[in-house]
Amino acid sequence: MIMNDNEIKSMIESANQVVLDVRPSLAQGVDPFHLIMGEIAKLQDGDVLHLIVGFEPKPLYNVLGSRGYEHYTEETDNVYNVYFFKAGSLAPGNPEGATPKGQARNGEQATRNEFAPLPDKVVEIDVRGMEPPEPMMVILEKIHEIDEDTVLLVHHHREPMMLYEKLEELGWEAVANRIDENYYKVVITRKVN
Amino acid sequence: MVPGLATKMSPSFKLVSTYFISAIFSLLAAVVMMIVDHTSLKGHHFSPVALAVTHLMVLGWIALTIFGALFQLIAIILKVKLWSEKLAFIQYAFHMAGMILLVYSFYNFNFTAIMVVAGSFLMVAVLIFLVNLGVTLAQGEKRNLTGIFLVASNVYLFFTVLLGLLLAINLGHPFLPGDHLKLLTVHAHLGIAGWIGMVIAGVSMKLIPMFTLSHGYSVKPAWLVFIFLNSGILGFSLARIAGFSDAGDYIFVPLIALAFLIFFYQILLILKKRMKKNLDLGIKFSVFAYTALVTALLGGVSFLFISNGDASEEMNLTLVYGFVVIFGFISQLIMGQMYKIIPFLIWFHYYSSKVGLKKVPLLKDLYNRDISKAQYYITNLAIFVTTGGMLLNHETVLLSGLIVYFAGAILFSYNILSTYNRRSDDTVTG
Repeated sequence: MIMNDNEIKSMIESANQVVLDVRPSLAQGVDPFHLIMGEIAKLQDGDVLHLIVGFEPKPLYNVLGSRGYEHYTEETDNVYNVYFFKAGSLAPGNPEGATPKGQARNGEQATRNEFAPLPDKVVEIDVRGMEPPEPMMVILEKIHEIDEDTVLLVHHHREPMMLYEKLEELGWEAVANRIDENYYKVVITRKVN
Repeated sequence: MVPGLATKMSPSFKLVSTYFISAIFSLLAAVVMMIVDHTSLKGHHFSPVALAVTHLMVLGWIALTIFGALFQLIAIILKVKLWSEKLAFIQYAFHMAGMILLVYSFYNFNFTAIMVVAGSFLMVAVLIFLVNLGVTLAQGEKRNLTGIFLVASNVYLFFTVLLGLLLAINLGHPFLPGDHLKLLTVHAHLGIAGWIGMVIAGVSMKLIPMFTLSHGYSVKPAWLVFIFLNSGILGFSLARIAGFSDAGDYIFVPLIALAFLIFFYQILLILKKRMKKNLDLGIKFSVFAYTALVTALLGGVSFLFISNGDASEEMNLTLVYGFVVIFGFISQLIMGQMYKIIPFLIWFHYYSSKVGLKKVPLLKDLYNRDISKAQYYITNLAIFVTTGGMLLNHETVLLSGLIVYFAGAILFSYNILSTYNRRSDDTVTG
């Protein structure tokens, strides 16, 4: 069902928010992806994951989108407040709507796990020891080996400019995080149509 | 950092190929010209054949390669998309027309209107390029060392071609103050040390560590290079224009030479911090190229100070100096880089989409490595022999060197151009 922005906002405000500010982790060069996935797995029905981050985490939209999570993003001064919530779980009058805090419904257990992301759905490769164009070749090969739910995390020594367009062609998307001058973390996910 | 939807950063394969293939044919044409007219290659450096060959090499082999490479590298190094491909093709048309007319007029010692037309076409081509690049760079997000070298390089490009055009007009209708020959040297150094030198420095600072996987080296020497090279070229040019060439030469030519030596040192610093231990062919070409440059510089500077004033000796050495810089340094550098760039572009254009779907050739399968090694040694040897022939004023040695070089150049062209044939080779066995 379709809600307008104001409806979403008020739903989010009245729901139980789990707040996760990942900016300190990123600043230290630690990838918060596992952290975020962990928190998502712990979310109860009706909860909202409130992510605070310094850039728009588009790969997360795809990854969580394919697990049934919608998102609502607000940006102020380059700070992004991204709210992830289970589709339909905040709608008023929905029989599977907001559960009172702290109470898991056993009947929901199976459904929730269906969408819970598993840690081994992240494949990591390190291409920093490879000379161009080997990194691109390795990444493109890996893309064909993994399935659509998997996220490819590449430890790269530069931002792979020519890779973006190739990945787009193949139906994948990439976002690069600059850790330092010789270290970029590139998160590659399946494009959601 | 998120790229936009459907971000096609790199230019079309057709654009870059057009420039590179034209560059390769210009090289072959220039060498054929040298062989056919080798007797004019000793003596007065103002000889029509020497001028024709120089401009065919610089405007054809070197310039077309630089433009093609910049179109490709801008996306990777500066992370922006070239503003207009159409302009790049229009630039190509004006450039080729201008170059062919110019070489023709030099070769026939025709310093009339045709040379001015040629120079004007080239000026138009350069202006189109500067507009295209200017708009592109304005959209870029970073100011880095390479970007600064590239901006400076293009300023020199503009003034080199402008001065060339003015000199062409001057030949038919003298109007420029000062000695035409002295201004000619300014034109040559603005072009070679300014335009070409700056672009080589800027691009090398990004490309070499990219291929050798070097990290953690100081870039302070590169900044010194920038300061000394600019001061040297500007000082040299202004001194000559103002009529103080003798004093100016003694101060600023060593400064220019020093700048290149410091650049050589910077390259060594980068190589010292490399992860990739063995040096491949592209790097080996570069090593020979930089060694040739250092030799030419040391030779040129020492000549400046110990010259005995013999005019024909001076002209002969100028020719040698020019040959070593253009064929020994710049040309070998380009050959080495082409072995890296062109096979990769072919691979990216024809095979990268097929990765994982069928067996895709490796980069090194796209060209013949034995031929590339042979060609490397053949051209190096040929450069030595030709230089010897020029220094000794020995026609047979000179001609032999040129023929051997031509053989090496043919091998190079065949090897590089045959990578284009691979696309029809869709099924890869083994």
